[in-house]
Amino acid sequence: MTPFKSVPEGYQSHWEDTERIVVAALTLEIADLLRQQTGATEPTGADSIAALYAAFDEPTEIHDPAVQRLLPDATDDVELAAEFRRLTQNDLAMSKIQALRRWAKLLTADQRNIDHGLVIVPRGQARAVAAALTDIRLVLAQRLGLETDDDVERLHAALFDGGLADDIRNYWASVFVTVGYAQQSLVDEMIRDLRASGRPAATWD
Amino acid sequence: MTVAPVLPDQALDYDLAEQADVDEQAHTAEPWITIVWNDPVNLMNYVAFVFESYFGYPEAKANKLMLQVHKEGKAVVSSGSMERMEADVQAMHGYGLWATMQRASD
Repeated sequence: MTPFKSVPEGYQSHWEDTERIVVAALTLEIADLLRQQTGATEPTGADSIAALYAAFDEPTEIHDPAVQRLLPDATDDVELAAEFRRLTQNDLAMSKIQALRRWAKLLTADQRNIDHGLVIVPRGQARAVAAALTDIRLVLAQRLGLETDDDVERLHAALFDGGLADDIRNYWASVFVTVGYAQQSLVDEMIRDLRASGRPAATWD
Repeated sequence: MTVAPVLPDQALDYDLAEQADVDEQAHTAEPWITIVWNDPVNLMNYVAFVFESYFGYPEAKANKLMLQVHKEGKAVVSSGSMERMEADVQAMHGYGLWATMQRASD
């Protein structure tokens, strides 16, 4: 893939078909993992009553360490952390799931972009996409056992020094780096736009 | 698949000289604070972007806080009422940053 560049339609980069397919499939897998682990419900239509009741229930306990990292405890105070989780976990999980699905859709839904090898992130979706890219990397890092800055630097070094001995590890390490490259270039352009626009109010969309 | 180097340090091309103007950190008089912790995944430019866009901090302050997280392992990024800190922590988690809140006196 090429770095994202600012264009009138948003932020654009070129992706190989395999990159697009691998990252889109992984993205949807992580969205499903989040949904399974949290039991997150959509706050819409017939589900809204269920979602309202859910707010008074104990939130689903998360067992997957990667999902625990996506939805960490808000404080050392056990009671306050539980209260925070009860009030926010469903919404946070749902917004992450929606952002991941949105990103997967941007990768796969527009046949004309696919034909041209393009991925275009509209400006209004860029924050959600950047957050989704972080979430993807957080899950991959947990699966790869990357716990410190040094772990990541060693992984990069090994990857660019002929690759890792373990093929599967090498594959996911490559995806980790590719998604990071996408995020880095996307965020560089977003920062440029943010500074050029004179700092708009912080909104998700 | 194309592989490109994304070493965290490559993001570090900010003007460090600007940091002389950085405001002092959160007032200790505020009852609660939000802390962002270092993690090996988040890119430096993304962390700075979140601080700049979400909190509305000037570029220099956002970069200073980002570097503090990177080098010292954590930084106090905001302070205020418990309710406001809950909103900030929730927002940081939404962005994928590892954040916690605590009483300023702890």
